[in-house]
Amino acid sequence: MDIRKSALELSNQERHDFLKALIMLKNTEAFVGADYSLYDQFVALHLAVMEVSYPENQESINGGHWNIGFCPWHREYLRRFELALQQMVPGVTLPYWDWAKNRAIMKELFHDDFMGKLTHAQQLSGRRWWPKDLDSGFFRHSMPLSEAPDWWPEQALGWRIPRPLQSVRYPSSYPNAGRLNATLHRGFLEGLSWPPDEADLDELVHLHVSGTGYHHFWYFWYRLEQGSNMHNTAHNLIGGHMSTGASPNDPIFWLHHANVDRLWALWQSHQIKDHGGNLINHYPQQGDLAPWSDKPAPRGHYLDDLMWPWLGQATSSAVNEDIKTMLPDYSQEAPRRVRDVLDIEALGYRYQLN
Amino acid sequence: MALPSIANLEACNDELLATCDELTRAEIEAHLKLLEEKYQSLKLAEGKEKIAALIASWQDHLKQPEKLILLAKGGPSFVNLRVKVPQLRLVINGPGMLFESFKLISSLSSEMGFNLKNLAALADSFRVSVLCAHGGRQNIEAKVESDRTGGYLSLSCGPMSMYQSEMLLSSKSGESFEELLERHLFARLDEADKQVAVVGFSLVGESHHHGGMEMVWIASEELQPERHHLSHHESQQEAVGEPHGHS
Repeated sequence: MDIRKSALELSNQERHDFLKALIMLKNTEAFVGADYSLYDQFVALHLAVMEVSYPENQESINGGHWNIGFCPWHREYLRRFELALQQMVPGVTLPYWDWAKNRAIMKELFHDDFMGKLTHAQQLSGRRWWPKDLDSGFFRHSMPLSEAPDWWPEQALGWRIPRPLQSVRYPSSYPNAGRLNATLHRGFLEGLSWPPDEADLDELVHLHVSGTGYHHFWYFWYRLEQGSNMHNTAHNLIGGHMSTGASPNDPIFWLHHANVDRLWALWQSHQIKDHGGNLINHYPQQGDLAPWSDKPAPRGHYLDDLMWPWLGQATSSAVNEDIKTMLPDYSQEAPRRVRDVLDIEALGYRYQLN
Repeated sequence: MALPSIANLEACNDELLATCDELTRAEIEAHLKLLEEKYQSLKLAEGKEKIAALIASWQDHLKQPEKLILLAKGGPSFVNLRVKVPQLRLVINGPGMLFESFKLISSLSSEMGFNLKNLAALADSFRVSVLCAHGGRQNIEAKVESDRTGGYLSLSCGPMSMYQSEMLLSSKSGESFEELLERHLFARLDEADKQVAVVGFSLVGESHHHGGMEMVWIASEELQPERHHLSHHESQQEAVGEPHGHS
């Protein structure tokens, strides 16, 4: 059983192993001769899931956001990423960013020896602010050998963003535009409604809105993904790539979403303990309608729906052609349904209790 | 007089932070002024970042009382402006994608005082800014406009994002929004008629599910920040850094 720990609890060795696995995945070609890496394929997946088309649906579907499938889709996505990291460094697991421990965790996470600095946006021409590239730490564009730590993988260059996965672009007249355009960006934003405190999170993981005629999971998802100091706010807080669909370019994405997943797992266990039933009872069934529209969630979001892109061979779908070329082929794998990911221990991991 | 070193400033900052609950607003403002002077005098980015972080931590202590409203899929799209605080914080999910714009509406007729002159005076009485990771803190103009149904005040959402931004509506005078409304719109009205709200309008006529590749930020001194509705195919065809217009 893999144990996911708070980033505050990692030993030096665990932190180095995690970083090494990230750097190795980022510097391993997706296939021989590919100009993108195994890591980049995960970023491409996150971009592609935003707009999935099925022959039967007129409008494209976001298979992983803005509705209840946000939780299960990211759970599967993170677990696959964790297993990919373990291919690089056996035994490594995803740490989580415990939002409520703000002072300690911001100090622990965001420096050159771990997840890189929280660079503030830079001001251009005295009027406009733009996200700034990371120019130090392990996630800079090029790591000078003289500064590489002992654990730095041989042949690893640095953290480079392939063009289809970029979201910030500097004009060619700008100094070092080529490097800046291929580099991880952040634009840390002060003054947001952040962080949540322990009481906010305790309320969230115990939330049980009943008697409305709609399934109670909808209200939990609503607050977790869209709340004023929850998932979306942290994306806005870090800024740069983290505030775009290409957010997994920034490795802090994984720690952030591990915490999202942890909060869902905690909510699941509290629901069963406090209100009975099993994991299936605490997720909307086919036919349960959204409280704001009385309409069903999009395809891929219900218990028995297949989650894109883990559709097996039977289902056809389409995504943006340019991104599609970067995606792994899952057609030979068994399809994955929402119900398959409700139990984290069945997936092979759990969270360390504080 | 020479300004203190960063190390001294940090030590002084820690001491002040330990007693910040006892400090007056004037004392906090004086400390902030010192930090800002230091920030201006520094050239090294690293030092500036440290000072910026200190400034931000102190700005928190000068925050105005505010009311926070979450605008989201399945959340409210109606914000009551008649509140007893000088600042409203609208947490907007999917700005430019879920929500397209905001409009001030009321239960008042022009005869009751809802006219363009009063609306313009109201618009001039508060500031609007957006906190968005794509562009930091940006000021938003509260536009007074009219259509065939009458006048209204509109606010754009700021930069597009699939995640979130925060819009701050802040009274310039420190008066509450209720007091501003009383002065500019409600002077001659009965209590029952005093209804004013900001309403969010959702994006229509376009899929709201996307969120990946359609937005590319172009850093340019000449251009305003643009929201580019580019398909990935279109964005691939553009040369890096070429100036863009609206697509």
